[in-house]
Amino acid sequence: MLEFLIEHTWLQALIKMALLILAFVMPLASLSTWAERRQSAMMQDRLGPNRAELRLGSIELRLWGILHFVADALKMVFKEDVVPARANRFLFGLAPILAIAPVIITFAIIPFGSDLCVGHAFEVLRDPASMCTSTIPLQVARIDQGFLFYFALASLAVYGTTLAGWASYNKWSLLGGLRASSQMMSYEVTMGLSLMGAFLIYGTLEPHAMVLAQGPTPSSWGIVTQPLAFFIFLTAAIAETKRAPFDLPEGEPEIIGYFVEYSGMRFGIFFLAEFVETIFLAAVVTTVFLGGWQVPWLYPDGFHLMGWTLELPHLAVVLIQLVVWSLKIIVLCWLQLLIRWTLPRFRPDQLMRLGWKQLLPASLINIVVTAGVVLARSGGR
Amino acid sequence: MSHPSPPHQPTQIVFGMPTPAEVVAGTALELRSQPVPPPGWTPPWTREEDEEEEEELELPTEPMTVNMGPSHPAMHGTVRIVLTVEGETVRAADVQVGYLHRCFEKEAEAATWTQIFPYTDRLNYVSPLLNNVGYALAVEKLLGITDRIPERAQYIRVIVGEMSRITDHLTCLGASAAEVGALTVFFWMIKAREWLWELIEELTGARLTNSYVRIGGVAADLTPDFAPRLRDLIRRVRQTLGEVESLLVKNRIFRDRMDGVACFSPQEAVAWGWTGPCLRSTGVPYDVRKDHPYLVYDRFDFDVPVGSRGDNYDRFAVRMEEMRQSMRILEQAIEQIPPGPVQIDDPRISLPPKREVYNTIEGMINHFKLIVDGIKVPAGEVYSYTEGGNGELGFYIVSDGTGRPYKCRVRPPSFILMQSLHKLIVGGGIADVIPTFGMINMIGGECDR
Amino acid sequence: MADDPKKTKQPATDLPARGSSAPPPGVASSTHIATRRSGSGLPLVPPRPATGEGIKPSIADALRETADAVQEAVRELTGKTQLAVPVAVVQPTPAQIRAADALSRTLLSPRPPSGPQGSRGPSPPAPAPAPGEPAAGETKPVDMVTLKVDGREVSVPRGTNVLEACLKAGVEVSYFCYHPGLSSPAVCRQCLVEVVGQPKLVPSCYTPVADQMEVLASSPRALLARQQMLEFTLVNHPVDCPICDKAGECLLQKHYMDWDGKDSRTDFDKVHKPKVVDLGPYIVLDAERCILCTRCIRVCDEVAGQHQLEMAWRGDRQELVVAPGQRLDNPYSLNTVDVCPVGALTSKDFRFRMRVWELYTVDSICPGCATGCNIEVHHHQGEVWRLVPRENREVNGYWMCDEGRFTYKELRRARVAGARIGMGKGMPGQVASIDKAVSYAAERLGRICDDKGTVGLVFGAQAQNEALYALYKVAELLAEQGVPVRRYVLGRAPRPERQDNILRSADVNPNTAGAQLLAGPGAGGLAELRADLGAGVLKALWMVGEDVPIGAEELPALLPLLDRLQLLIVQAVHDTEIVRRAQVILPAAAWAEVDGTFTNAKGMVQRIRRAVDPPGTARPHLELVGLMSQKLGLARGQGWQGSPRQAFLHMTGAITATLPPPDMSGPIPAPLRGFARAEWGRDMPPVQLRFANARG
Repeated sequence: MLEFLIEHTWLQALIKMALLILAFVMPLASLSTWAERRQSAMMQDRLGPNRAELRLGSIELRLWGILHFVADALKMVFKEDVVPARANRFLFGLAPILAIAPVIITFAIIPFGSDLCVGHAFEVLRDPASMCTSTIPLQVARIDQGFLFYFALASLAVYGTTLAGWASYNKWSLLGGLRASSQMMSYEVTMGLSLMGAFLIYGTLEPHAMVLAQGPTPSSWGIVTQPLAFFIFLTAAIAETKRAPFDLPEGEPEIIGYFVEYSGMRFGIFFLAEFVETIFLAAVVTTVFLGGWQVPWLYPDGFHLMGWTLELPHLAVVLIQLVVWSLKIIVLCWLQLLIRWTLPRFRPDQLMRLGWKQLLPASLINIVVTAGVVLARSGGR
Repeated sequence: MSHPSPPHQPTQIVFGMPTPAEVVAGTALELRSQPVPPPGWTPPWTREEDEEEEEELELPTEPMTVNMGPSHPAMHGTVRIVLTVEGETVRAADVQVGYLHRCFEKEAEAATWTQIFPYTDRLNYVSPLLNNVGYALAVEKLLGITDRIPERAQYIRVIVGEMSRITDHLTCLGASAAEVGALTVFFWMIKAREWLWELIEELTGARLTNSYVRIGGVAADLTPDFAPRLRDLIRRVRQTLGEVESLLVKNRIFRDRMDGVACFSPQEAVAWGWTGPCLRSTGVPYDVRKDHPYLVYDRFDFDVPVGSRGDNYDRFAVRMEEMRQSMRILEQAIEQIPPGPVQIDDPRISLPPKREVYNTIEGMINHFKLIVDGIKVPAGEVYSYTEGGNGELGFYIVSDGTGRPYKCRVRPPSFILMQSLHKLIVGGGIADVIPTFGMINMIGGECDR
Repeated sequence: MADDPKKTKQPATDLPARGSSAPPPGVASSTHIATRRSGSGLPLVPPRPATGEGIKPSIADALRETADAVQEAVRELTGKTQLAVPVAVVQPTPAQIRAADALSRTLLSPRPPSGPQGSRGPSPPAPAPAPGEPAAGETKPVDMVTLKVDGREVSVPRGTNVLEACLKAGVEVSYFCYHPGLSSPAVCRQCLVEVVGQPKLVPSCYTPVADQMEVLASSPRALLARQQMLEFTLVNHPVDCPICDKAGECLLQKHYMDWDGKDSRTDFDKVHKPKVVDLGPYIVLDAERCILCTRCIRVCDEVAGQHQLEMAWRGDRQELVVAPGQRLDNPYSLNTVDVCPVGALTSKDFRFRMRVWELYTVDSICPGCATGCNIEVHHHQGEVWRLVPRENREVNGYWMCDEGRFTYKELRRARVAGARIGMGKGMPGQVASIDKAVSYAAERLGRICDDKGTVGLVFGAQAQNEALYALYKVAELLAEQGVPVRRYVLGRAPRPERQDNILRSADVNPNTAGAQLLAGPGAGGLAELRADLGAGVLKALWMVGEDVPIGAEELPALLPLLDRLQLLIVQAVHDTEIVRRAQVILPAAAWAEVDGTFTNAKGMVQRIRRAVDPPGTARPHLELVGLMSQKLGLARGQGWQGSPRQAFLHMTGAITATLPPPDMSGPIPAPLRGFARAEWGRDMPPVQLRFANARG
């Protein structure tokens, strides 16, 4: 069985993809819809949604209203699916799929744990290089292009919003679509450039390799070596997710947004895509700047901190890494919620100015400085 | 960020009607003869990008007409702006009001003088008590009993009025903040407003539609623990205002969105009949409470904040400061308020006590006639004006001697302000329409009546 | 037929013979009142000639004279000149106009104030012109006196009382028992004023003016006395306002608010008296509420001429009772409810059904008979709730008859609410839209006209002048085309037993004179119609108004005659046997649902106003005639048919004089007054009674 899997990597990839998306991303995205409301409610001295409950006979499962996302999903599914009279029905239907599919696909490059050594699950892995002959990478697709793949796919996501805005046959949604395309294209440049420094340092584009390059020592993580890039990338990536303060394409009180004509589950997919993007952003930031699945001072054989050692079996190490990876992502998601409910929205000109005149030069400077430092440290090779 | 044009110069761009100021100065024709838009003109928010985007600007663009409202999240369902936009730039705007027209003035002609109070509640429905007071003062002026209103009633009117002014400004600023995306600020301000309304509800029996003021006084005396609760409330509202300021005043995004946007010169503002916080934001220190004191406003020590540029941020800041000044007035009023009756002692104006009504024919007739026929106001006409939440709230009433007004005309401040909205939004971006409209604080109930 | 026998029928024998010298049964009451008066410290006066009785013989004489004169003039005119079709322009001679004016003034001027005669100056000439009116210099010079009221100079005719002089000077004085249409007994003491030189306050309604008199109506002493009188009145008044029908138009309430406003100073029980006393067929008395002003007694005595009410007991036990052996059942009894300053007398028809302050008022004319009493229609939410008289000294003074008050019930009875097309002959017919029915009618009528068949046009005496004028135009245009046209004036059957020379006329149609005028001199009545039908001359008949002047017992004889017609078109208000004979039934709006004018028996053109909406799809007669003439192709240049006002203006321009008195009208002939002198009058927005400022 295990051998079969190791041999057939496509099957392995399918299973990992399914596990990652269905067991982690989707539940987290759904939960973050609830979390967003509760979070905002807490910040705004409100209660937020806390009423949804499950009644099984005499048992009442309230769970602080977590079940609200279930109610939401049910509502979305059963709402009438309205397509405007003169909309382009094909593109109108295609847009939500185009919005969510690229994000989900790009999850393929995200490593969510170190490689699993088949056959040594319960041993302490003192020498992984020699002991691990057959491994299952905890990453769906380990491709050398790595982040280029991400950039390529992310630039596809703009089609979802632009098409939604155009196909709805509504001037406001068209404005939203235009805002979305200009915003996403502008910030993709910054986003790519801001990571360039990190690529220089790690010497690779492949996420797993980047995680390994950062190692378990927090001082060598991206956030320490590339602090400026971290902030630039975080800003640009939030802009890429189109969430406040960068929610101009939606801009509810201004232009109502590119999905103004969408209802029911079609709208639900846009809604969900936003949250999946949030998670994906958190995953990328984790991978590049927070050491990915690395746990501080946790090496393949256990914790090593200032001479103090705690040996752990391989499976335990992988599990801890998984959990910590998840925690990093959740914390980053929470951080985004915090930002979202604190800052007011940009105006399009401010956004452009920020993107082109502040973030872009800053990321260019970052590249130059990083390149110089890397060059100097490598001795001019 | 530099301001695209010095705020005190009339904007060069001419759309729509000439302003009265232009007509007076004789420049209307001259301005109008300029091509629209003038050559070389770019919207303020794209000016800095001129060099970079020159080539792009040469691309043929086609203006698009979009309908902002009445069914639009920022338009409260009560106003419609037909925008002609080029990309995100507003080239022309046609502001259309009237979606909340409720025939206030016509309805008033079929109701007794007292029955109009509930209608006035629905004028500026975020500060109904100010409308109540304004209307009562107008009728009292016509009745000639302005000097006979008991002092305690006058103080109570000041107190509830200033509380309403705070709720008005809180709503305006909170909603505007929400519309630029700072939803948290909105909820904080609404929270503070709710505290005020809870106290008002305790006093008047209603959060919103109070109908608390009466001709000749107010409906009921203050509740026993009103003063300590109000003091506590003022402390908490001050704290909330501080929190809000910490979120907004130094926030770069917010400042950039408000600073230098929709500037209006004092000359223009006066020419267009602006009053209230919007006028004061341009630097004209006109406040009815100071310049034509009514009730007991001349006994309080308070300042009239003014702005310097007449932009959205000044309007924001003036309102913030006015709330603080209102709280100063409240603190003084609650100290000074004398004991005594809260209703004028005149059987032709105020209702008899219920004991008299149910047991004596005199009380019964008195009550009956006041309720059914209304207070008989001598024939004549009067214009009375007070400082409402948005500016000078005027009532021009004409009586033919019967129990109902022959004519009851309202001068709603936001209607006057709305006349010049197109001047403020043309040339800006679509995104600027929202905070500008928010800072004008058009209240549909008042504007459309 | 539209008489309402169960409500208003009264044996003719009950009516005292007007103008007869038989002593009226009100003598006893006079002495009774005089007794009370002696108690109030004023000189006892001999039983004054009950003013109404004293004048009425002269009225009758004047009537007879004028009638003769007018009829004579008419005979002359009709005999000498062949009147052109359809309307002759008749110039009345000045003598005729004077006679008519004199008649109306004699009949309807208010009763002279009967002060203590001889106590101050010569007795006033009767009848005196009304206060506040310019003296009619035509008949007699008026002796004017000048006096000062609160420092304001005012000139009034000699004989006017001080109260009227005060009111004319614009000085308000409260009063209960005084009424401009009645004599003044000075029983309420509510109008006390100070007269310089007199030691005591005097009741102003009872004191005639004198030259150079100085009246202090608003002096503190007078005001205090009036306040105290009001307090006395209120001492025993029950706390009834919420359940009292007068509340809202109550004089007591008004005076308390205007003059007193003080709190009660009593804490003892009020005197109790009978609460629900059945006085007559229409009226209930609440004796507790009564303030003993005797206005109702005087209305019965002086207006109806029947002594049916009087006072019994004395002091605070005094109360209003019916006279021995009597009931309050005279035909003017409901005027007592109007004049009652409080809610003591209430109408059974109106009490507890509607609060007066909710009602909206519109000025109109009573449709009950040819007198054309001026009324106010009180309506609310599309329903008429009551009719009350409106002051017009040339027509009805301040009064109207009980029967007239109930005419509003006709508005809800058996109305035709939609158009119908059918076979006629008593079959119900099919419901159709007005357009369809009119098209159908016009098509069939047009065919008959093309064949030069004789067309009959009925000018209904219940219809408005404007509609009849439109019909008159149709007749004219048809005649131009060579179509033989016959015109008839029909209305409800006269009821001679109603005739009483006060207000009630035998002709129960409001617009007989107008219909007669507009139908022209050649118009026939029912007899001619019957003859023409019997002879088979008529091919089609177009009735504006469905009433015919015969009773239900004669009707069956007429119906088969109607069935001989090829086409019967009826513009009907009520559903009757006649209506069911029609091939086309067009629903018409009734009098309270249209704007227009009626011409009363005296030839006065009076304005009616729309108060409520017509039921169903009913439309004004004018509109229906207009639609018909449009479809008939007769509407060229007839744009005035669009609005009653335009029609009226067109009519006044076209028709400048009246025609001879109609045969159907009562004995009062139509004085010669043309439309040229008529005015449309201003439109009235509906005013709620509580804001009308005229009442209570």
